Amino acid sequence: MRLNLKRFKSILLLELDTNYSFPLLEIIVSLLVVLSFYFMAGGAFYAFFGIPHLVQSGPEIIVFFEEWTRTHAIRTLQGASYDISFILAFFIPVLTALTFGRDMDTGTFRTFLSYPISRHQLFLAKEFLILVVISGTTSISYFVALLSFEPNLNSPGLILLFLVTQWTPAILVSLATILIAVLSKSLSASLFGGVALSFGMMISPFLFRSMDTLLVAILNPVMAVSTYIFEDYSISILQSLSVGIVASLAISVLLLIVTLKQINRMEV
Amino acid sequence: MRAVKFFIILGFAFLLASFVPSPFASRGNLIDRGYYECFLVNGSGNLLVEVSGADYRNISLYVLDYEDTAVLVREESLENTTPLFFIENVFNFSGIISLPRPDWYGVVVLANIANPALTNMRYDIYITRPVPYLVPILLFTISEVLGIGLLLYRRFEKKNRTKQ
Repeated sequence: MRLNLKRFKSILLLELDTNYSFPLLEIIVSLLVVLSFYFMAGGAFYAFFGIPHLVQSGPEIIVFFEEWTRTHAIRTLQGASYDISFILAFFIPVLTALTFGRDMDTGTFRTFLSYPISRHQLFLAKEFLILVVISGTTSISYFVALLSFEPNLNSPGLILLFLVTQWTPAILVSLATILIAVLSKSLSASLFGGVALSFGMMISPFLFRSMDTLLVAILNPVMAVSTYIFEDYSISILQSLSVGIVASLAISVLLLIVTLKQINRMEV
Repeated sequence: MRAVKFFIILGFAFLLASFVPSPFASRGNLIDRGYYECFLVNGSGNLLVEVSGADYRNISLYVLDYEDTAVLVREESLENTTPLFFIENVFNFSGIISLPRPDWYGVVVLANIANPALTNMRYDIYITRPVPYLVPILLFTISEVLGIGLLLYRRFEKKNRTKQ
């Protein structure tokens, strides 16, 4: 077990020195932190009303602004998640193609296969780094921004739901891009295939408005969470959303198995 | 050495984030005699408020907490409220108002029209959060301290090794 961990750590360090060499990792992490923070900072800042109000009575205004302030943090989080998911839709396939596709294209991956390390460990170390860079940075900037702008947000369940909706497509897209890279052994094919798949998943719920919530939850879970919030936390939508997330993870597991089989078949 | 570079660059990313422009409330409007204009703002730190009455006419500015803003809305008067900050009968005001805790606050403007012939006056207001933000600045400091600390530690180690 300890030996396995040691090997895994060595592969991670090798990967950091080769595919994430200075300053690529630093630039990606910094860009994601600043962009996520920027989107969170852009939430609505004020509501305006006159007193005495010509249309609404005092109690009506109070009801309005109690509702407005109560839901403000969630609305900010939702808007920011939407924007961040578009940024990630670009970053995830590019990063995956740069780490897997490039190695396949140049033949470096075959050289790695000749090393006395497990193929599974090699694959998992590379995938682990992609997910840590993407999910880690977005989660950190979420919390920094929430602490800065929405300190009264007291719905940890919803924050976690928003984070999960960022992570599940990240896993699915990265695995699909790896599979394209393994099958095509080409950087450009994995890059364009990954980006097309990622943006296709993002925009398909916009193109097909009547799409079922379950399918939306698989393709673009952030949009499904928005529907869940707009529909006043409807239980049926939450159920569809949960099933969609589980289905997305199941597809990811399937992709993982297929990709591992393909990697096992590769010749040194 | 990579960790040093990582922490130092990440620190600068936090520094950049701390200066991200904040949303703002900006309005130039006619305000009637005896009429309050209220901005319910998300005060997560301090607030930068700039307000001025047009043609050198006087205005008053009050900052109320959430509960007092509700009292003002209900009673349509400031009588039973305790403003956190107020400035009355001034041509203009520009400054940073300290808020006791992150919450929602009411920024209220009232026109002081001395001339009985006038029924309203024009005023301009601009409210925003002053930058830099506290949390990213703290993270910038932590990240830089870690980066520079690690750099100094490595140099110290290297020196010790060469001495031995």
